[in-house]
Amino acid sequence: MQFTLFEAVIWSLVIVLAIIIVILIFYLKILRRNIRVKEKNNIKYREKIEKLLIEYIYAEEEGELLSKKQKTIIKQFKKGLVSKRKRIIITETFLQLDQQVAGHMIEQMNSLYKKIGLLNYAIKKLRSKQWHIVAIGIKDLRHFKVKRVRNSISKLINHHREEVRREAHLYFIELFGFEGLNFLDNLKVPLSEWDQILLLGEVENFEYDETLDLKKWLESNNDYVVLFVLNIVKLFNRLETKDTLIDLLQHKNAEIRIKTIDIITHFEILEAKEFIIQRFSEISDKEKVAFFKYLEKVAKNEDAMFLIEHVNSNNFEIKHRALKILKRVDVNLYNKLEKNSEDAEYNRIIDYLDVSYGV
Amino acid sequence: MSIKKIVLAEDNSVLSLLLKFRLEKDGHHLLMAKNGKEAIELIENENPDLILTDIMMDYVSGLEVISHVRNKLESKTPILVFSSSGQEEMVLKAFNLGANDFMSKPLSPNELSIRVKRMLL
Repeated sequence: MQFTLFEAVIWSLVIVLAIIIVILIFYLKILRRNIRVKEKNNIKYREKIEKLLIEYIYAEEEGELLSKKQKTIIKQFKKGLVSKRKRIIITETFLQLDQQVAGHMIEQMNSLYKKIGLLNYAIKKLRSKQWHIVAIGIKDLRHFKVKRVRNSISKLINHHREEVRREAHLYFIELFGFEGLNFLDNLKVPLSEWDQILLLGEVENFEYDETLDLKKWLESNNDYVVLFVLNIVKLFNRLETKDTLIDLLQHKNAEIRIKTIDIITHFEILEAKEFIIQRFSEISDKEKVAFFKYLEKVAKNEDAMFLIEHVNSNNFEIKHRALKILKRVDVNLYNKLEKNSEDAEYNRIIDYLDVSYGV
Repeated sequence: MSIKKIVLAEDNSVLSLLLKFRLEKDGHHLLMAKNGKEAIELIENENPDLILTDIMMDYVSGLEVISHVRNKLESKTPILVFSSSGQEEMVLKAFNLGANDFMSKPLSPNELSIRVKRMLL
């Protein structure tokens, strides 16, 4: 049988492609098999490590620094550390238990972490050129409460990756409590809202410390530090910062000014009222609304004239609050107001307030 | 004293092993479940003296385990639940469903041992 040149080329291509497909099928089969074997080995090794860890914890003998069994277990752990795969499993197992148990066992695990040499690997991670390895290193050191690396970690608080910074900040707060907040002195970069929530979650667990000087951070050049510390002021009711709070009402950052009005409202600081009224025409609408929320708490009869000036404001929220507060502080004056206006919003607010009991 | 059967439902394998070790030291027989589904099967087949269950688990949650024991099996077996911080609402739900006690994580195995003894009295 004779093939033309064209047919010969086609047949050659078919045969080559068929061979490639067969090779790929075998390659994928081997790959899948290897993944399964690897997974199986990992599960087996994890089970072994879990068992060893529990045995170590319960092998403690009174009066002895380390029992014979504990020494043998340490040797077994050390043997596994050479392999990266096993090292990851050991670290994961430690972390898995570390967050679930309390008391003496945590101390035992932290001490074992150091004894088997995992600590050195975590410290080594801090020098990695890959940011995610650095972040994992800090996280490990935080979980195992390794305080002696604080100098190395303090160099990372302004790291260009927020993930690394976040871990560094959590390290200081979790391990050093209020003292750990000193990292704020050197913070030059932003603290995202999410970071602030995370940090505040930790700060909430602190024991109240009267000696902590929050004033220096309220005067920080980093606006994010000021915003974060304002939350702490509110959380711990640090009313002694009152004068600094009033100063912050003139801060160049509008977000800080609004947040400060919110804190002043929380504390019901009367001294701020006159201060803001004098500057009222210069402040933004958001600040004005925040101020009216403050007035809802602190306004008195003497503020009636100021309120009258704003019952026809273009801003619905200001108008509504001004009328509402006026009704509370000086109902006679409120009743003398024109009940019908060309402004439909005004009429609706008046109507609402007139039929609402107790407002 | 007869050996008491305890079903322990916990998806964290190391914690599960640690608690098993501790409670077996006290002379109890532990039946382990990795999730709520396995726990329900064990409870139905083994009729344990006590149930220890985590609130958050795969497939079937701790709340569903409690509901199954109290409403479907109509059993009065004491139940202790483990919760993590931030799960206070769930703990209240667990009590409403019929849980007898709770412990919040991180756990102290020694404290658990005492509570278990008290619940088995």
